[in-house]
Amino acid sequence: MWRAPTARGGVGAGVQLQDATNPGWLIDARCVTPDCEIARIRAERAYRVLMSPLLAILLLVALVAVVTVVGLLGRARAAAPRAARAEAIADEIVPAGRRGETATVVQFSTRFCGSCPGVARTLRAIADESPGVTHVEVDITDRADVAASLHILQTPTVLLLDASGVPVSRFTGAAPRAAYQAELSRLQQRTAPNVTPHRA
Amino acid sequence: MSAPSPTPRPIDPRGPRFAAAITSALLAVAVVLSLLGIATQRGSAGWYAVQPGSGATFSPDVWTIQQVSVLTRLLDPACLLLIVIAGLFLWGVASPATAPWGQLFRRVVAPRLAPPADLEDPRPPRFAQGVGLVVVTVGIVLHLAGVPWALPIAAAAAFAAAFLNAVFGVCLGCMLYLALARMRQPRTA
Repeated sequence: MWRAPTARGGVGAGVQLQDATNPGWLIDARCVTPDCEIARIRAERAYRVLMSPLLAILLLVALVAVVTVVGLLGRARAAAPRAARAEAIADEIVPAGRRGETATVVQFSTRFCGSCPGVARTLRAIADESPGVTHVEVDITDRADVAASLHILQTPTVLLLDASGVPVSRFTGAAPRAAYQAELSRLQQRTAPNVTPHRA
Repeated sequence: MSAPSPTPRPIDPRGPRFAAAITSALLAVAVVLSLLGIATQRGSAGWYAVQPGSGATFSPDVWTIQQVSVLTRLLDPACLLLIVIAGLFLWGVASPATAPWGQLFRRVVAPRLAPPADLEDPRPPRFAQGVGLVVVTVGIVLHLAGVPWALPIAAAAAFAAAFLNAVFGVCLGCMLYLALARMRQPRTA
């Protein structure tokens, strides 16, 4: 691999070698045998390519920025309702007696869901203030069939049902109170445009 | 279907988030240290070349981590820090009641806050500690086996999860717990 033009001086002598695989490069080395065997060359100093501290800090800042953006996007997605599949919800999931005249707010929760109690409180408060609107909480911890049939992947999932029990919009994840309120108002406006929606 | 185990006492949900905040700070330090340590280094421990004319240098195109002993890899500061962090995760899984950050929260932070509006089941956060333990341990094992960049990537992944939990209250491990619990349910007709 290395070609020594002329090696002289015995053990410990400094030598500069050419690397045949990298032409134009000289290698600092010392002889380890009196004949300065090329195969047994031991370099003086170890040299490593290190990352600069500045680059490391910048990479950390970039990591924090990326994770922050992901978190903000997740929060925005949870606050934005989607159009729900317009298939009527079975009575065994939401009994007819618990549905509201104007709308029903159905929340699907599990026992382990940390944000569900807070959302339940918020929705209960909104329902109490809106005439004809009820809040129903369905525990799907042990009901994988319900979760599968309604394609529920995350809790809390909130479905807004209209007066005939057909889902209109869907929130996946915990949304702020204003988001639920706005969507409910939008639904009420749609079905009764002459009625002033109740403002919380 | 077997009878479900008794539900453990619910906990203040801010406790795991406080622990996640401290853990993400430690992991941020680990990310920087691992980037500056042996996990990312190129070049042999033996020689380098100097071009006299331009002063440019050349180092063999190899990963330093694969040129050094397992002990040297172990003694990399980032590796040692990640071992400590793994130990903390293990403590959080094995005995959450005695784990340090939880204790710190209950004794020092919680008394200064208003009582929690809701309590949460402690099992998902405990599972999440286990997920953190697995991620960090895989990074350490790969690093000791000589895989370059294993430490920074593992530290970054664990940091992302801890940061999302601390700042946004999003517990990825808890979501995994839920997904697994759902898969384990017998499908009723």
